[in-house]
Amino acid sequence: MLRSLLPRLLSSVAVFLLIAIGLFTLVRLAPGDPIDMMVPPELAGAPRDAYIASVRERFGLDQPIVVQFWRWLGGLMTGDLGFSYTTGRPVGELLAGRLGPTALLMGSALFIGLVIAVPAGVIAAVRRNTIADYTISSVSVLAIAVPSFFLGMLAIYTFAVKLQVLPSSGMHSTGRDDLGDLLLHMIMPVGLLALANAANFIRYVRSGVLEELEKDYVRTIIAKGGTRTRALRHALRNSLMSLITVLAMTIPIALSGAVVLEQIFSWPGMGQLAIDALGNRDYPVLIGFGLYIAVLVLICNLIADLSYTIIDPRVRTAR
Amino acid sequence: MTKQTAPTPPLAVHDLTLDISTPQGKVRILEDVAFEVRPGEIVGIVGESGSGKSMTALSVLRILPAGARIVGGRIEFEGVDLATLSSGRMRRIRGRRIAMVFQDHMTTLDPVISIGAQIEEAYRIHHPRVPRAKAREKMVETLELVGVPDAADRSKQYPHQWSGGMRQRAVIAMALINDPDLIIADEPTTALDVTIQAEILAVLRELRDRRSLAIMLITHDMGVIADMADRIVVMKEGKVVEMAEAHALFSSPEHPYTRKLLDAVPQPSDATPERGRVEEAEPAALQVSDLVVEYHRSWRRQGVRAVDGVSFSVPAGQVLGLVGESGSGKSTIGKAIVGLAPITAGSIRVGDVELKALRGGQARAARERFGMVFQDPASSLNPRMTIGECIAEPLVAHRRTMSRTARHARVVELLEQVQLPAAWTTRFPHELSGGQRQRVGIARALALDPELLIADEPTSALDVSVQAAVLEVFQDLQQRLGFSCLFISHDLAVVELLSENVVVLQQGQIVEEGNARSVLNDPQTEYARRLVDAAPFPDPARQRARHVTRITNV
Repeated sequence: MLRSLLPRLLSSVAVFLLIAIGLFTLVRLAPGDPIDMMVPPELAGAPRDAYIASVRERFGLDQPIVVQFWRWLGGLMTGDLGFSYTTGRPVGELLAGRLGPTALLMGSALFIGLVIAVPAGVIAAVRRNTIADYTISSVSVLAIAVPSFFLGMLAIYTFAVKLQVLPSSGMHSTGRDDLGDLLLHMIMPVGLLALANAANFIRYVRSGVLEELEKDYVRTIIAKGGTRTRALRHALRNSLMSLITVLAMTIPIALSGAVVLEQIFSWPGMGQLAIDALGNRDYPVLIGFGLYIAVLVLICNLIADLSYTIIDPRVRTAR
Repeated sequence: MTKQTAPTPPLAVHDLTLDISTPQGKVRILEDVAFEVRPGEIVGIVGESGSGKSMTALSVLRILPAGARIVGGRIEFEGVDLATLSSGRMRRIRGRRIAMVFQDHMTTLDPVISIGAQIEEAYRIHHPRVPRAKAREKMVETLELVGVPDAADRSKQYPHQWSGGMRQRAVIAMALINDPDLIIADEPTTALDVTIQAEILAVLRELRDRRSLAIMLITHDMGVIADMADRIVVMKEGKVVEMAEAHALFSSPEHPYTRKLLDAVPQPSDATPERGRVEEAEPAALQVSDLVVEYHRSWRRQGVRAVDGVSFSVPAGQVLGLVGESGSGKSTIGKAIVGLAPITAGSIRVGDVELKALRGGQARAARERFGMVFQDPASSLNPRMTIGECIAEPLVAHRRTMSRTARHARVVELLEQVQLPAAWTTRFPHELSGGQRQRVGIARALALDPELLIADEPTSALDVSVQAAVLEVFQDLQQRLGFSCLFISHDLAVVELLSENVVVLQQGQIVEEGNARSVLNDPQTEYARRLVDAAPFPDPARQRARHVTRITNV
C-alpha cells in the first residue's frame, strides 16, 4: 500500500510546487499596487515617493521578481509565509487563527450533512418514485437552488430578530466563552451549511444506490434468500465510491470557508480573511490562502485514493 | 444424503401466466406455461431470447423485475404454491430449497466482497446460529466439490481476480452450499469458452448423479441441451410449444418451431475428406508472416505477448477460419490487420501492400481495402446515427468526391444486398433486432467493396436461428462478391460451415491448421481435440456416446 502511495505523494509535491509558482506569478501580474493602500493620503510629491520606496525596500518588493520568488520559496520551506501587508502579522499565524473557527463550522456542517444525506438518499433510492422520494428530492433541489445568503438573512430575521432565541452573529457573546454559548452561536450557520451539504450529497447517494440496486449481484443476494435490507447493505457499500469522490471535492471547498455565510454571520473564518485580503491586495495573505487550499485539495485527494483502495479490492490489486 | 424418489415432483408449474406493465400498457410475457421437474432430472428449457424462458425461472423464485406480476397459475413446490406464498416463507425457500445459478456477468457477484464471504453468506442466511468457522469450513468444502483448486486460499480473493469459468463454479458453489432440492441454471455456460463450458456442465451432471438433484436448465444452445437434458421444454413467445423426452425431441421434433430451431444449428458433417489439399495458385489476399503482437502495459511491467509468431495466408476469394479459446490471440490478429493492435514483429500483407510499414495517410488509404465486422452489433453501431449514416460512413471517409445521391444509392444497394428494406436508412440501431443490426454491420464493412473482410465472432451474440439467417446472407454475399475473408470464431461448427481451411490458435501460436472438415473430424493435436470434444453436439445419442468414449479414454 505504501509503495503505491509513494508515486502519488511525489506527484502531489510536484503539483504543489507548480501551484506555488503559478500563484506567485499570477498575483504579481494583477493590476494595482498594494503600496498605494499603505501610503498615508496626506503625503504627496517627493515625500510620497520616498515613503513608497522605503516601504518597497522593507518588503523586498524592489528586488527582481525571480529573487523575490526565490526568497519566498525559501521562506515557504521553513514555514514562513511572509507578513501581511495590511496588518504586518505573519501570514501563517493569520491563517492558523482562522482555521479553527472554519474547521469547527465546516466540520460540523459536513458531519451533520452526511448524517442527514445518507439515510435520506437511501430512502429516496429504495422508495423510488413514491411520495418519500419526491419529497426528499424536491427539498434537496430547493435547498440547492435558494442562495445561502437569502436563507441566512431569513434565519437571522426569524430567530434572532423576531423570536430572539438565537444570537445573530459571531462565535461568542461578549464576555462569554463557554461551550453552551458557542453551540448557540453555531446553530444557524451550521444548520444552513449542513442543509446545503446534505442537499448536494443526497443526490449522489440516491443515484449511486439506485445504480447499484440495478446490478446483478443484488438479485443474486435475493436469490440466495437474503432480505432487501441485506441487499441494500451490499449496494450501499458499493455506492460509497462515488460519495467519497464528492467528499474529496467538497472538503477543500468547505475548509476554504463559506465566504457568504461567514460574512452574514460575522464568523471569523477563512472566507472572511480571503475577502479582506482580496480587497486590500494583500499578496502574502492571498498566496498563503491559495497554497492552503492547494494543500487541502492534494491531501483530500490522497485520502480519497487511499480510501478507494480500502473499500474497493479492484483498485487495490490493480496496483 | 440420498433422497428417496418422492411420489410428487419437486416442482410442478401449472398454467403460469405473467404480465409486465409498461408505459404502453400490460404486456403478456408468459401464457399458460406448464411443466414439471422430477427429482434427479435435468429439464432443459430452450427458446430464443424473448421466449420467456428466463422469466419462467425468475417466476419460480419470485425474483421478478419491477412491474412483472404473476396473474394466473400455480407454481407447486412439494405441494406448496410458491406463487401465493408469503414473502417471509418464500425467503426461506430461496437459496435453501431452490437455488439459482445465473449466467456469469462481471456483476453476478458483489465486486467488493471476497468470493468466500459471499458463498458463506448464502449459508449463514439460512443458518444464522452456525459459528463463522463452521460456515467457512462448509464454504471451502463446497468450492472443492465444484472443482476449485486451493479453495481455502483462493476464496479470500475477489471476483475480478477469478476467471469466468472459476466465477461460474463459485456461483454454482453458492447454489449448492445449502444442499437444495432444485437448481435453476439460467444460461450457466453462455459466456464461457467451449472447453470450460464442458467442465462446468460435467460438474452439474455429476452433482445430479451424486445427490439426485433436480436441475432446470435454461439455455438457447441446442448442443448444451442435447448434452444435459433428460426432458426438454421448448418455449416461444411466452408459451410452451413442445415438451418431450430429449432423444424423442431431437429425433422427431413435432412442432415446426422446434424443427426450425434444430435446423438452424450448424451441424458438423461426418464425412472426412482427404487431408492436406493446399491451393497455392492464386496470390494470397492476406499474407501474415511471423506476426508478433505485444501489448506494453506500463513502463514497469513486462509486455504481454498476445500473438507469438503466427503465419498463415488467405487465398483470394476464400474464407479462412481462425479458431481458439478466449485469450488465444485470435481477435488480436484481426485487430492487428485493421490497425487496432501494434505489429511488434513480422509482416501483414494485404494484396501487395505491407501494412507494417505504413503510417498516416498511406495506412488510411490501405484500410480502404478491408472491412471489419465486429462481434457485438449493439455497441459497434453509433446509437445516435441512422442506419443509412452508419453504412455511409466509410464512403464519407474514403470517397470524398462521391455525391450525396450516389452515396445514398450505394447505401440502398448495400441494404438490399444484406436483405434489409431500403426504406430503413432513416431508422436507428435500437429499432432493429440483433440479427438485423449485424446485417447493417456487414453492409457497412462491404461499403467500400473490400478485397478482404475480417469478421470477428460476427454471430456469437445472436440466437441460433438468427445466426443461421445471418450466416446465410454472409455466405451468399461472399460467393457473389468474391471477397476473401478471415473468419474469427470460437464455434467450430460455424467455421466449418463457412470456410475451407481453418487455423487453430492456442496462446498466440498456431497449433493446427488445414482443411476445416478434417480438423474438425480428425484433430491431430491434443488442444484441437479438446476444443472439438468440448463443443456439444445437438444430438443426445451422439453426445452420450461421446461421454462414454471420453470416460473410457481417461
